[in-house]
Amino acid sequence: MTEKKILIIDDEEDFVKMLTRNLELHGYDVEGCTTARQALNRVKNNLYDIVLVDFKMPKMDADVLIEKIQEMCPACEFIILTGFSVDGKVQAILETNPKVCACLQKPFEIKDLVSEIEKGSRR
Amino acid sequence: MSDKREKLMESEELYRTLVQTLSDPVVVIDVDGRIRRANKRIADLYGTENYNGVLGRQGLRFVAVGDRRKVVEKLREVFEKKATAVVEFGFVGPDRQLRDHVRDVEMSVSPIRDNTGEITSFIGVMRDISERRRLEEEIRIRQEAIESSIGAIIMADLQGKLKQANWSFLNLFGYNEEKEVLGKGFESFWTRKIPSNKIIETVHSEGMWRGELVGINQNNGEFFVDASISIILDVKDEPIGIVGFFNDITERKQTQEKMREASKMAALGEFVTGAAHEINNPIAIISGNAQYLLTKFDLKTMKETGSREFKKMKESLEMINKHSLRCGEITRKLLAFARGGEETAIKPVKLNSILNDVLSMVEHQLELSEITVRKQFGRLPLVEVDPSQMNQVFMNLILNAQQAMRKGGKLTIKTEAIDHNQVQVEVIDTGQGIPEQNLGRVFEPFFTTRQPGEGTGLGLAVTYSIIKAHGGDIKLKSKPGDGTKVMIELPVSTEP
Repeated sequence: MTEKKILIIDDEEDFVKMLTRNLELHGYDVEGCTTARQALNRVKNNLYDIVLVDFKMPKMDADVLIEKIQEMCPACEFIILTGFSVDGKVQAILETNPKVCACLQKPFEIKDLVSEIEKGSRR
Repeated sequence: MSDKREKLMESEELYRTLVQTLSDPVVVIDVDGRIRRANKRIADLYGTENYNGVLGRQGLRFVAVGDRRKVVEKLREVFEKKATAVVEFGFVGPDRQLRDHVRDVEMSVSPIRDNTGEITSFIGVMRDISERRRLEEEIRIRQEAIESSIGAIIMADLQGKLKQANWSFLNLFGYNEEKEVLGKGFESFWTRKIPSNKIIETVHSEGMWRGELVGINQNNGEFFVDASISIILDVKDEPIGIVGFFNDITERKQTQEKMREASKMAALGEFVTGAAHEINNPIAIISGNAQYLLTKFDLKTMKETGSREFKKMKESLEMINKHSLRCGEITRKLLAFARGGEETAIKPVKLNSILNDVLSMVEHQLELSEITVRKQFGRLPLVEVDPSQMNQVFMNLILNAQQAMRKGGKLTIKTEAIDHNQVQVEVIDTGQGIPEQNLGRVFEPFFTTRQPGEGTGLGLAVTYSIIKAHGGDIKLKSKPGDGTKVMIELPVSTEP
């Protein structure tokens, strides 16, 4: 199994740090960033298997960000992380965008996230 | 002879003077019905200074056509009984074009007899009762207005004992006839929240009292009225009675109450969404870090050292993780509660099958609690709901019922179409019930009677917000010891 490359996008630095550690412990190659602009820069220069994205970013909502990343990296898969509930908007993205594999409500168990990552990258 | 003649002349003169001086119009009519004499006052009725035109004319000419038969019959009666009688008729002046010239007249008719006792003529003393008639009509219209008023109106004496009540008042308080309320005091109609004597005192001292009262009807039902009560003064400004005007505002109050409730819930929902989000992020970080350390322990430390110290540390981390996740569970429910106000994935569904799905999920649990389930499903039209939210609603209600029946019991789930627009679902348990003082609070977020950690106190709040968001209604009836009945009404799908 090749090491999967994961990008975490969340405006809260501690969250990114926490998740990075956890996922590294599970053997992933993880990078994190806290703004949409940083995220787009990273995607421009790197190839990620999976992007974990906070649904509510200060300057850009996840749906817009996902679209922009997809333009540059069509193979990329996404998992949405949200502090809100999985509402109609998230549901709509899950239903219409086949590259968006799942949405997890914060807080979540790391093993649930890992299993979603594995499910996602297996498709 | 000349003496007799003189006497006759004298009496004739006296008679004429008498007739002329009477302040009422007077006519003398012969037995053929012709007017032989009339006094000046007749001019008031006649409508012209020159009333000589009436002399020699048929009296009936001046009687309104519709009254002529009545007048003739009355004259016949006077003739036959030889006694005075009174008749009312419309007096028509010479100008028939002018309707004003019809006056309402009351005429007292007496026979005039000659010395043989034979009736030779009649004397009619008239009184113009047009003004009285007008006033009577005015009073009648005012009475009619009071009677037809949608607002309840009463009149009472100075002590507040009812002397008159209109139909609306009787209807509002559940009486059939006015006599049932006459003589009753104000205190018979209101709760004692505002004492009647205080109201009457204010009416006396300030001339009026306005406010809201809680009315009690014949069946002891309570309702809200907006009351305006004021004093009635006579021409000398002396108080002679009390008039009260009451409007039923029960429906308005209920609507206001509902709107207040709805906006309270909406504001709460908004607040809760924001708060939940703010909490979710930090607890995600807390639990995530705890999980990181736990994994680290599992991978390394635990293998190296099995000491009690490390076990304790691990246990502490497990607690941090477990309870942050528990916080997450609460915020999740809070968000679900707030979502009641959000757009939902509504589609026409079969409610009975949703209930069957939920029941099959909890079947085993109910069996373990020795709860028997009775389904009384009626034939239902499709309802417009968000199926996943409805699942949550019934799951909440059934689990609540289960918790109320710790020693077992019977759970009845009943569905029926109440009318073309609505269906009703009832979830009835035979559990411990809810004390009356808690009934009003069960839909409040975080209200729970369970032990800390046992329930979030959000189940019914979430249920309530979901049902309201669906345009439905939820009500709860409960009696401690007997059990609880939750009734839900949902609108029927408008799609065929």
